[in-house]
Amino acid sequence: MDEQIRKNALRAAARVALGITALGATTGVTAACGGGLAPVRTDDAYLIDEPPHEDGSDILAAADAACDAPADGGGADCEKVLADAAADPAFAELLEWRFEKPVSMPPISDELRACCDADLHDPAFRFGGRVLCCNVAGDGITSNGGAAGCTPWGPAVPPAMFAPLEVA
Amino acid sequence: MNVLDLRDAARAHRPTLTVLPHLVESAKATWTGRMINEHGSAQVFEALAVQLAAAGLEASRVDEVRGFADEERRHGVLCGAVVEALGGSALAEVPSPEPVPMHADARSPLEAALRNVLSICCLSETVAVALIGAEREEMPEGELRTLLTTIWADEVGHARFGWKLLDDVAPALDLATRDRLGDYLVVALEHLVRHELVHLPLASAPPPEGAVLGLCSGRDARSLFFDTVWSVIVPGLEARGIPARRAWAAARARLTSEAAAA
Repeated sequence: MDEQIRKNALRAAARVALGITALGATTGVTAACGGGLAPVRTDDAYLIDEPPHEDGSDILAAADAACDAPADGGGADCEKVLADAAADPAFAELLEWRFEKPVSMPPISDELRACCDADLHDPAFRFGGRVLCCNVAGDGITSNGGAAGCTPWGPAVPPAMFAPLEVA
Repeated sequence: MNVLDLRDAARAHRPTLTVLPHLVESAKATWTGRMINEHGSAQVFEALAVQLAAAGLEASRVDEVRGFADEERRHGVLCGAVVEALGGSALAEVPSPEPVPMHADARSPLEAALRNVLSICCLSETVAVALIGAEREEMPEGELRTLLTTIWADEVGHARFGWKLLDDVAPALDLATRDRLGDYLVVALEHLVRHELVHLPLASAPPPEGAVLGLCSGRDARSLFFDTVWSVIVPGLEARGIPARRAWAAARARLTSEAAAA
């Protein structure tokens, strides 16, 4: 997906949820869509925040490079690079920034390994997509097996409540 | 199983489509899925309208939500029209509708209604705004894009209804109520992830020209989905005093632990 399209889509959702109109956004939302909210911000920096430490991106890039070389033992290199990276505070912060999950590697978590092994080979998903592809929940749920494409439209029936879990 | 037959209504709205024979079957399956989802969503809004009325909300809001149900049925017809235009049939077996929870365990009718408003409008429909918005932007000008724009405009309205309602009622909610809504959000967010990921299969990886027929990359859509939750929905709810950040962390923890155990 083109990055600008992605931003525009997020802006459209943000306009709805946050009442924000980004300067220059041409999402096509009209008054008929319930538009008309006054713009309260003119930038979209809140949407596409930079990671807290750019060095973390560099580490990820190094891991990517290692993972992209399966022919010369890339799997092992990948493991080593990621193990080294896991000990780096910048990497941990980077993961926290987008993953919001504890980083307790090494050893490398299965999810990160799986991400390394599969998802990172897609050059279109170097960074932003990477962390999302690492979402173990996403890959732990089987597809619907029937529909061939994306059919997320229409709200599902809301769930009933259960007793909330204690979260550490 | 029930039968959803929208053939007659759909045929009146068939858009002219670009002919891409190698993608026809995928497109039929995709738009049939959308037809079923959209049409089935009408009952969700109908139940919400009843619940909002019981909670004492203004008749204008209740009527607006009833209108959303009509819009969802219309979307079903429009999606069926695409199926028909592709040479398929706007006819499908559909499961019996699930009951919409009325949340009798909530402390008040308003709190019960807000649970559903959060799930339906602030989560599901806000995600739909982003996903359909992206698909619309990727699609070239033409009748299908016009059809998609119609649907998207309605989805914007459905999402905005929930955020506006929250704007109006959240300031009067006490801390305990907000906290309990945060507890519900754990459930709702977990449910949202499950629902969306099932409907955004990684196996959906159409070629670039697939955008012409509304075929999207499951991987791209998943990425956008998570960004919408994190970049838009969570801050939007936090801004209204609902502890969404905490809820999202808890929902992720539940999903992650489940996946790890699998």
